[in-house]
Amino acid sequence: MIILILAISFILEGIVSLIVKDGSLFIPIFSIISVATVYPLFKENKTKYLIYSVSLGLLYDTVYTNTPFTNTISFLATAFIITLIYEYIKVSKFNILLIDIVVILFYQSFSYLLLCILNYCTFNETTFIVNLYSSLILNIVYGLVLYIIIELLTKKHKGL
Amino acid sequence: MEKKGNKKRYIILSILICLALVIVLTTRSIKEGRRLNFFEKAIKDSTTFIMDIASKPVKIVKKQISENNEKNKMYKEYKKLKNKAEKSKVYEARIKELEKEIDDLKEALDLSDTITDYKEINAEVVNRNVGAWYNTLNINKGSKSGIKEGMAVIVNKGLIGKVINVSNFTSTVKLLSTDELSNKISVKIEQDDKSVYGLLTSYNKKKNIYLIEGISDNTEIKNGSRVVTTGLSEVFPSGILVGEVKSVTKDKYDLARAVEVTPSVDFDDINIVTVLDRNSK
Repeated sequence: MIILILAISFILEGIVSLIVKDGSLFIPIFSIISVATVYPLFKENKTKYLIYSVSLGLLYDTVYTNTPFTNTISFLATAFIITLIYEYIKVSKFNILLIDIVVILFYQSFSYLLLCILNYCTFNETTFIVNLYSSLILNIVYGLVLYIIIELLTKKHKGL
Repeated sequence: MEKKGNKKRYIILSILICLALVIVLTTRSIKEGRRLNFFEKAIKDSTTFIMDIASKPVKIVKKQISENNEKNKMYKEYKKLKNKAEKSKVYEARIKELEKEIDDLKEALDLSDTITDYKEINAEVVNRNVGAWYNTLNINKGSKSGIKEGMAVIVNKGLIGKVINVSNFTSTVKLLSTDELSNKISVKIEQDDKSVYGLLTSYNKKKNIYLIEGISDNTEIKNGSRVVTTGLSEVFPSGILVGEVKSVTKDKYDLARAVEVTPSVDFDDINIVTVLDRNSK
């Protein structure tokens, strides 16, 4: 189920990117949101979780960005932050909302700064801030919907 | 106690070496024009194929909506075009005459190709703008269709960028809507009787304008003048529309003239693109 969720989110990100306009308020980053949302399914197996995150990051780099290791590093760093956060909070709808916000802000800032350090792009505060708040709405909604679906599926499995 | 201190030092040293390695590897890998390896090509081709199929329904709906919008504008356009169509036969004959003249002149000068020659390869956009910082889009044609790194990419309204990576069945296009263009583009501003040459250096996302610097002379530049590529590079053929002059200002050092140009292309609405192969004609 985990692989399916990650794969669907990954493909959905590409499809939604075709619909949303550049500079709109709905920039999709569903792959990293799915990484944040599936953590409870790993039942504290952090190593396995980090391996899945790194693999998705590598695939993301290969398919979408052609910049090997930048998103691999960003996904790994974000996944590490998620494991740290989950040591202090429990899984709930409200907490997922908070984690999604932290993940979006951290991932976007980390990726942008990494690309700037590597001289791939030049730092521009306006671009940075616009992309930061443009990523919030759609991805928080996606994170919540994904969490509800996972919750329903898990309950159904237990019921069987 | 000393052992513990040594262990800590080793860990810090290992982390630093790993970090340095990662930065070196990443810096090498994000270079423009890097060739994709076999595994990258295979993964990219197969995933893009799946995504191309999965995105078909979305594309159909998008096309339908866009067609409906077009229909509403159509009647007004029809009236305008009717007048133009009557004149088009005259232009057609003139173009044929000019083409023949060019061919004759080329033959006389023994020229195999010129800076305006290119072959067109049409492709569909599979995904775009994933990862907001990258300003790239992926198309569903690759090296098997004759696409190579560095080729110019246009839409029906003008230039949008160039191919930076190619796999067998997909390619990645770097858009011109990037803050700082890594490779400056040689352009000319068409005036009544002469052209003013300059370099397209950057794009301002907020204002939606390109900036032309390094203006060649002091000729007066009128607002609304057409800006096209010069063909003075291996990438972009001559005469590809880039945009229209919006205003003439000063560069960031307040020393030389700079020209603000409104792009002819809407970067938000790119579905079908054409890759230009300069060497095939």
